Amino acid sequence: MSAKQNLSLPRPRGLSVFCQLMGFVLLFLPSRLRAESLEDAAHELAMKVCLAAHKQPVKVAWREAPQPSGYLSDRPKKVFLDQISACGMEAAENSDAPILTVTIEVTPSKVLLIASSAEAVSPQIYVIEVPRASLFVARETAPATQLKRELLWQQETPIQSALEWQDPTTMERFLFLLSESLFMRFDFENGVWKWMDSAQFLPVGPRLRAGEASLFYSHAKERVELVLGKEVCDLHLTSHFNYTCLGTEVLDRTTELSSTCDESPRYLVTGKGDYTQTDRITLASAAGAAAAADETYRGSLDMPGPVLDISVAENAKAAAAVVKNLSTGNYEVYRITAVCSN
Amino acid sequence: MRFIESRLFAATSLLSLATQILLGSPATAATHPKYGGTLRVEVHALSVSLDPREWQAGSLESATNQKMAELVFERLLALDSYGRFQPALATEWSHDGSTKRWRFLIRAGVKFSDGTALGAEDVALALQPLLPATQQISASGNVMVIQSSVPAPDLLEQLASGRYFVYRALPRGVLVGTGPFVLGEVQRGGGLGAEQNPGSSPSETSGARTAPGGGEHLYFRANQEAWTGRPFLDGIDVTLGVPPLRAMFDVQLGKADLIELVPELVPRARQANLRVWSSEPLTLYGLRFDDTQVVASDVRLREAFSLSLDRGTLANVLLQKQAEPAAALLPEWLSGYAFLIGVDTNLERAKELRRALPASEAAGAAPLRLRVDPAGDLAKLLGERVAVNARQAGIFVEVLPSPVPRAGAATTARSDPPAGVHLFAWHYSSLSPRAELDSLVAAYNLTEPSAVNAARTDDEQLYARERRVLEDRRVLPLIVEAESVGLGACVRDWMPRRWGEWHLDDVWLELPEPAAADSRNTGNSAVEAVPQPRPAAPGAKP
Repeated sequence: MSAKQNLSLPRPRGLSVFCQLMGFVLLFLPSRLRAESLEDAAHELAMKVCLAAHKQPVKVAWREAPQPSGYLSDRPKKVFLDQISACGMEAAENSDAPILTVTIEVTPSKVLLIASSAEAVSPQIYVIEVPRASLFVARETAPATQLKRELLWQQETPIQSALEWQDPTTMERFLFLLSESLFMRFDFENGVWKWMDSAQFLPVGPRLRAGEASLFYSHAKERVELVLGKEVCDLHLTSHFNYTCLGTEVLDRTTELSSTCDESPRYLVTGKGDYTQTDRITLASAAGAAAAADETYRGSLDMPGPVLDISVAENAKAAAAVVKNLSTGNYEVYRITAVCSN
Repeated sequence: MRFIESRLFAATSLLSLATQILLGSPATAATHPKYGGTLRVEVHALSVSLDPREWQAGSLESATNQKMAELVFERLLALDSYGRFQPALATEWSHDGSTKRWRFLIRAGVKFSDGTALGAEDVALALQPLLPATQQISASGNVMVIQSSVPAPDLLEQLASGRYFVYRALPRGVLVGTGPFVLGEVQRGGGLGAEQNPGSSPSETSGARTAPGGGEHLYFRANQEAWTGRPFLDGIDVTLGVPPLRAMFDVQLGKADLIELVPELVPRARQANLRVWSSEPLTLYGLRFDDTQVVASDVRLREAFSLSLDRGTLANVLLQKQAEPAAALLPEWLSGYAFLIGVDTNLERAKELRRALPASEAAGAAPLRLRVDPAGDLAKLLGERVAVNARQAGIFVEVLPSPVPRAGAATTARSDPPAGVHLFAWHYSSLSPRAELDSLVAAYNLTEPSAVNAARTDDEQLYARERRVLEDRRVLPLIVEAESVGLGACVRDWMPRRWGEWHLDDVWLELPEPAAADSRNTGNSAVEAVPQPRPAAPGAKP
C-alpha cells in the first residue's frame, strides 16, 4: 500500500472511477500548458491538480524564488485556492493534511507555476507556464520623507524618461512615459494612474540606447518637448500622437525645483546613471554641479538604483525621476518634491 | 611571496581609489552617452574561435568564443531581460499549431561587413550546420522556414542563444557578420606592432583564430554600417591569456576597463571597491562514471560515492560562496524546477553501502581513477576534495591530472590508464532547457530513459527526463558557478544579461577631458557626438 493511498479519504466508488477516467482523459488531451496571466495560470494549475490528485483537504504552502520577486500576489493565490476548493480539495490549516507546495519560478522567458507534493519520494509535479512578456507590474506605494519621493509607476520594461504634466485648460494631470519605442500617456483617475493610449515614437528596429530619448517641459515654449539624441522635437498631444523634430540644440531644459522654504534656485543633481550602483538625488545650488557637503546632508535622497533621467514638471514643484531598482530589476518613476522639514 | 602579493594588492587598491577620485566625483550631474574611446578587455582564454561551427557544446572555451562572436555576428532574434523576444535579423515569425513549422521574415536592408546584402538564403546556409538533424531549413525570397520533425515550442529560446549566429562564409574560411563591430586586426604580444590577419581585409572575420601564447590582442572596430546604428565605442581591444590576478591589478590601475574575475578573486575585488558583476550560475562541475574501468559500472558503488559527496563544503569553503551546490543538471534559473531535485549527503549510509560490496568490486585493491578533464587549478582542487570525500566512505580514489594535449595531438597519451570517473565542466549556452539537456545527454552518452516520451517538450516531461537521467547515478552534479567581471571606473551603461551576454554595443566610456586623458589612455578620447541617424526598418510583429 502506498503512502498516497493512506492519505486518501474514503469516497464513493463512482467518484473514484470518474476521477480515474478524467485522469486518463487528461493524459491524452492536448493539455493547455501556457496561460496568459498569473490568474489564468493559477486556475489552470488548480484544474490539473484537481483532476490528478485525490479529493482531500490539503495544506497549501506558497514558495517564491528570491529573484525576481513580487509576482506572487494575493490574487492568483485566491484563484488557486478557490478552484481547488470547488473541486473538493479544501485548503486546510490542519497540520495533518498533506502539503501541496505551489512555487513560482522565473526563467529567462517564462514564469512557471509549479505544484508539487512533499509526500511522494519522486514527486509528480504539475506545471503551468506564462510567457513573461505577457505580465506587467504596476502599482502605487507610499511616499518617503525629506527631499520627498513618491513612487508613481513601475514596470519591468525599460523606461527612458517620464514627465508629469497638467493641462492648463482642463486641469487634468497626465503622466507621460517613454518606454523603449513607445510613448505612453496616463491620466490620474480615482487616485491611480490609468493608461490612456500609447503610440510608437521611433520605428521598431533601430535601437534606442539609454539616454538618447527624454521628455522635458519647455518654459520658453510652454509645451512638452521630446529630445532625441540632441534634437528637440515638438510633441503634438492630440488624439493621434506625433512629433516634429526641429534639429535644434536643447537650450532650456532645467532641473530647477522650487521649494516653499528656499528663495534661491535649487537644482536636482544625481550620479552618473550607471547600471550597477545606486544613486542619490541631491539638491544643489548650481545645475550640473556637485552638491556641497552641507547640501548633501540637507537635501539628499537615496534611490533604490541608478537614476536614468530627471524631468521637472511644468510648475517646477515636482520632478519625475526614472530609476532602475537594483533589488527588483523594475524601472520605477518617482515624483520628487522639495518640502520644508523642520 | 604572499606578503609581497598582499602589499601589491594594497598599493593597487590605493592607486585605484586615487584614479577614481581623479576621474571625477560620482556626485556630478547625469550625462548623456558619449561616442568614442576604446574599451580594453582582458580575458583568460589563450585562444578564441569565432566560427560557431567549430564550438564544442558545453566547453568552457565556448563561453569566451560566444562573447567575442556577439561583437561581430547577430542572431535572428534576441531575448531581453524582461522575457520578451526582440526582433534582430528576423522581423517577424510565426508557427503552425504543432510548432513544427516556423516561418521567419528576414530583415531587409541589412548588409554584411563586406558590403553584401543579407538574404534568407544566407541565414539558411549559416544556421543549417548548427541546427540538430531534426530541423531542416528552406529559404525563398526574404522568408526562411524551419521544418522540425518533432514539435519545437522552444525554437525561439534556442535561436536567441548559443551558437545560432548568422554569418556568411567567404572562401578561405573567412566569416563576415552583420554585428556592431568588425574584427579589424590581430596584434601579437609584446607590443610588436599591428599585424593584419593574413587573408582577410579589416572588414572580414577569420573563422578561427588561435593564439599559441598569452598577450595577443584582438581589435574590434565599430561597424559604421551596422543596421542597428553605430555603437558608442570606437573599438574594443581584447587581450588574450591574461592571468586572473594580473587582470585585477590592471583594472585597478586603470590599464583595463573590463576583466574576467575568477571566483576566488571576487571577494578581494569587492573588498577593493572594484565594480563587480556576476551572472547566474553558468558552469556546472560534475562527475560522470565511465565503464572503461570496470569498478565504475557497479550502481551500488556509485550510490555510495554520491552519498559521500559534501557539495556544501565545495561551494562554500573551496569556492568561498562563489558557487552553489548542484543536485540537478540544469540550473534553477534555466529550468525552474531544480529545487525539486534533492540530494543527500550521508556518510554513514555511504560507508554501509561500501562495506556491503565485495572488496574486489569496491575500489579496494585497485583505486577508482578520477580524471580531472578541465584544465586549471579550480577543477584540480575540486577533484582532490571529491577524492577526500570518497575516501571517508572507504572508496579509494586516485586523482589523475587533466590530459595535456601534446604537440600535434589533441587527446591524451595512449599510455594513460582508463579512468572510472571524470570530473567535467559544462558551460550552459542555450536558453532552451530542453536543448541544453539534449546537448548534455548527448555529449556524455547518458542513458536516455525509454519510459519518457522525448518528443514532448513541456516542463513536466523535462523534469521527468532529468530525474530519470540522474536516477542511475552515472552523472553526479557537484556545483554550479557564476561568471564574474570587474569593471573600470569609466565604463557606463554596462547592461549584461543575467545569462552572461555582455552587450558591449550598449557600453560607452566616460573619460576625462582630452588633456587629462593623454596621460591615462592615449588614443582613447571619448567625444560627445551627435548620434548618427538610424535607418528606418520594418516593424516587428512577433
